[in-house]
Amino acid sequence: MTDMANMTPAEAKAAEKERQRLLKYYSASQWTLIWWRFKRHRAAMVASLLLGLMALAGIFAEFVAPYGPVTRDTSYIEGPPQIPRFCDDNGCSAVPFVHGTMTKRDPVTLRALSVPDPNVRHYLGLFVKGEEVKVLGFIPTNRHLVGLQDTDQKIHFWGTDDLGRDVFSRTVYATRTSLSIGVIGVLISFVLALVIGGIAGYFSGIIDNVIQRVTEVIRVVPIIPLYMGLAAAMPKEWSTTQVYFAMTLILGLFGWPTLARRIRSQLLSIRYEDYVVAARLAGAGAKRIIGQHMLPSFTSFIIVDLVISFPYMILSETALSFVGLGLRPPSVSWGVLLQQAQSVRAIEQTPWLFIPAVFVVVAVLAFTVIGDGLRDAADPYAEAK
Amino acid sequence: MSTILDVKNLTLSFRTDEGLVKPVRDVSFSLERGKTLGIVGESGSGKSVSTKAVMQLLPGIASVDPASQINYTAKNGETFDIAKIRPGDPRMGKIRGGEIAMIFQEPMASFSPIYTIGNQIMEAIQLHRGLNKRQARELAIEMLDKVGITNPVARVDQFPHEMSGGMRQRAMIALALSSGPQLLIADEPTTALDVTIQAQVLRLMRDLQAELGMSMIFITHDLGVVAQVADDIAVMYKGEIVERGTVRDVINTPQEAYTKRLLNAVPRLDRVVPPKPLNNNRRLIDVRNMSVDFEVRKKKLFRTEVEKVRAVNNVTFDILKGETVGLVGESGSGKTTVGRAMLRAIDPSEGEVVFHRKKKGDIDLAHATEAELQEVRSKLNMAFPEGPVQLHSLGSDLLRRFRPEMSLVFQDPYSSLNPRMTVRDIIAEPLVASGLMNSREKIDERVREIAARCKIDLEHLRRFPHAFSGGQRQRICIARALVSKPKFVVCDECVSALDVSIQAEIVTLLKEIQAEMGVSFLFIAHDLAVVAQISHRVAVMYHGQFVEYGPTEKIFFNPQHPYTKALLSAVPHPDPDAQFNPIRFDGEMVYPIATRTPQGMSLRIPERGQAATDRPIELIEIDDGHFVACRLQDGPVSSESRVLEPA
Repeated sequence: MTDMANMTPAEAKAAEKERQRLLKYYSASQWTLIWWRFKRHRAAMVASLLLGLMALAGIFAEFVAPYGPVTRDTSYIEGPPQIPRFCDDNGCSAVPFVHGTMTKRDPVTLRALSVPDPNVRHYLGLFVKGEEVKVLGFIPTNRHLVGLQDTDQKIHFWGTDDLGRDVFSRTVYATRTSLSIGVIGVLISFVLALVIGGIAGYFSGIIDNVIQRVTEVIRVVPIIPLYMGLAAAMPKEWSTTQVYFAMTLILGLFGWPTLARRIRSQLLSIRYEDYVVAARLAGAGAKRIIGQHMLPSFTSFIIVDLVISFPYMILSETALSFVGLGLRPPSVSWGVLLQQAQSVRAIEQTPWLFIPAVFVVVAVLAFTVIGDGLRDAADPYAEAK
Repeated sequence: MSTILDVKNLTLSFRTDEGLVKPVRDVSFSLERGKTLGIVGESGSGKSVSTKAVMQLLPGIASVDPASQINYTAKNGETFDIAKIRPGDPRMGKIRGGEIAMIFQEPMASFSPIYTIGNQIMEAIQLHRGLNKRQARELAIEMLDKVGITNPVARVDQFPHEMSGGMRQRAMIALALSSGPQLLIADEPTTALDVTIQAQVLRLMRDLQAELGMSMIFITHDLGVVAQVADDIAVMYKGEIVERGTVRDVINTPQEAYTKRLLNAVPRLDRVVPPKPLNNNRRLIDVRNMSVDFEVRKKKLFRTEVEKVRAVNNVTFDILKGETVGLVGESGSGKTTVGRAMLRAIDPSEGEVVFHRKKKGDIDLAHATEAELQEVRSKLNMAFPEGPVQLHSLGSDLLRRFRPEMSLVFQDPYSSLNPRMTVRDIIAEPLVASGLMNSREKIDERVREIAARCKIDLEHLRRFPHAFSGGQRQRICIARALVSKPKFVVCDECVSALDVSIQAEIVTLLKEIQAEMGVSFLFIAHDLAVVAQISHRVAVMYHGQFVEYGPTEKIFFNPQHPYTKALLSAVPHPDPDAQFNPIRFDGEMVYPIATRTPQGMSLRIPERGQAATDRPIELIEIDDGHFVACRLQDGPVSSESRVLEPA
């Protein structure tokens, strides 16, 4: 500060800026610090962006998907993906277009095939009119994010399945189902974990012992057969919504043990931290110590755990639906979509039915990377020393 | 004499949250064969990091400036620049651990807990000396013997946790020396050890260096230690070397202002003027026959055995109003437990802790019955809730209400501040949590008042603990401890983690506050010099008992108990010419025998092996207010044991 006088204006400005930056750093709360450090984790930022896009697409599925999940296009059954293009043999255009389709027969198998008709162009448009839907369940609209300007024609970015349903639209709807099952499942198991782990960690002793043993019993039950049994026990006449809720409940009810243990051990480990003792000696009661001093100190870790347990939920749902025990058509989830792609025939003739698998992989990876980034960011003194 | 290590213009930069910092700037030093260089500095001065650069052990966020040179002369005579060698160069693997060995501060952390000591030493020997397993084992035993570990043949198969701290550090030295290094870097090797053990380890290192003819870099913050071991000394401050020279020159005739300041800040046991004992008789706290047991649960297959370990055994003393009582002793002696039990952070198993209040109505915190507490309740002018009191929660609730009267300052200013709260909220917590104050304005006013008193910048109140250095944090801790205007504060090693200059500031602050507020302190520390500076009276603890207790002057300048004497003799003075002959105290406790004579008390130390009298050990007042733990014996002084002479 003493050499403030003989600094050039530019230097003084830089010094002032530095001072402001440090001031901001010093009065930054824990969460701000975590956010700052998280921002520096590039992979995690990319992952959050991807996941954000996915979540948005899922939330606004009605608007994003050009067609409904069960809308059939009988003129384009098992049709390959249509990739929008700007140029073809007939020249170029500023607006992307796809070729029309015509039906041909396979010369060997005599199977009907949809093939592009290079002489017909259908132009793409934004916010085109289409089916009447309700966005978020209550905003009626007939506009869709993308589609063909000619409302009589349909575009299938990722092709169609054996019933002529648009794979892209179905994937968008499935994203909503799969992500929401993950979210609700994680929330249920989180609440259970917080209560059970919290009780075990705070009271310790015999209560802790009993809870720990129960947790262990639940953890040793092989999870897939258990899910299968429970899923098989679901009455066939249940509606898809009922099955959906039953699924989330099952996933949630068996997801808590790991998290509960984590919360318990966190509570146990900080019970004798100096600052907790300090709070006790300051005259704080049990409620205040837990609420004001202990819980805030590990919320960041819990959030990391939550994020990391998402993929587990999503994979469980996908796996169950894949073997036909989870959600059932007509509801769509990633697992349900992949179930269609089980056969060798699908691999051979309609490989685009595997596109939902990419979503599963991306979502799971994204959650893991974000969890990683958060874990690094959540340790406030990781690099400070 | 040839130079073994020549560091030139070493500059390091770290990428951190606070931007790019340069913990080491333009540092140059050189070391000759067979000599010891002491690098002294406070925390954050860059003394550790600069030697880590020599070993290429820098953290990932660090980078070495291209102008830096670390010229090292290897055993084969080849000289090369370590700063230019890429990591992973085979030459580096040979140097690290082979030619240059390192000893760290924490001996527990530097041994792997899952291998025996012998295994770990043998690994180093096999790696660097190419001996076979049997030869390596023999050499390992020889090394353990050399570092003064008794019965090395049995010890070699022990695990690190089976050894005491001093023993582990000896084993660490054996490990470091087993590969036959020509340079040993010791990074605060004795800081975590008790003074008596420190004295032994220092002597050992000095002897071994002379015997093996190796060079040594000794990093420490303790000028007393460096004066005892080093030939040359480099004083570091904020990443730069401010002064370099022989130990004698630098310590006796320091040139730089910083060195002078550092030397002045070091509390010196040989020059300290302890505070005079208070001559009032207003007692604040009476501790009578207090014992604390800890339960150790041993899990057997089907049952749990509970064993009691007595951490504090039958301690009796008092603290006057406005007095500081120092409590010294080595780790594990029970001094922290005494402090915590007096605050009821731990419940004493036996005995009484009586807190005297202005109005008559002393409170026995250990054994307050419901009726007594009811009485206290009316006497403490605090707003207790009306209506029936739940019996089972009564004790803890009233205790909670009583908390503002007393508080604790912790040793570690990092772990004792909640990282999620602002400084203002941390300091206000005792007021808020105990319900002492309710209005936000009043709390703010009080917080600002005490923060100003503890010299905390009021602008900092909005900040979070991560913004502060150790010394600043300790001020926050002190402000928190004093915000409720307590009458009694336990300072548990509250300056041990701080640099000497900051230590001095905190001690001054505590003295000022005591003069103003009339608060009493129980000052627990293992650093005898600091205790001597601040305490009116001192108690020396050993194995859960008081062995000597009395006015500071008498304890430090006329110690009577052999343990006190050993403790005092082990403190290294920052004076290269001072005789350093620590009394070796091997833990076999010898209590003096006291005999009443017409002149007063006479003490003698029984000969080793002599049958001790069956009389119990008592604290006996041998002089005005000076108590020594001994066995009282009436009768003539026997001739075969020597009479203890007053020092």
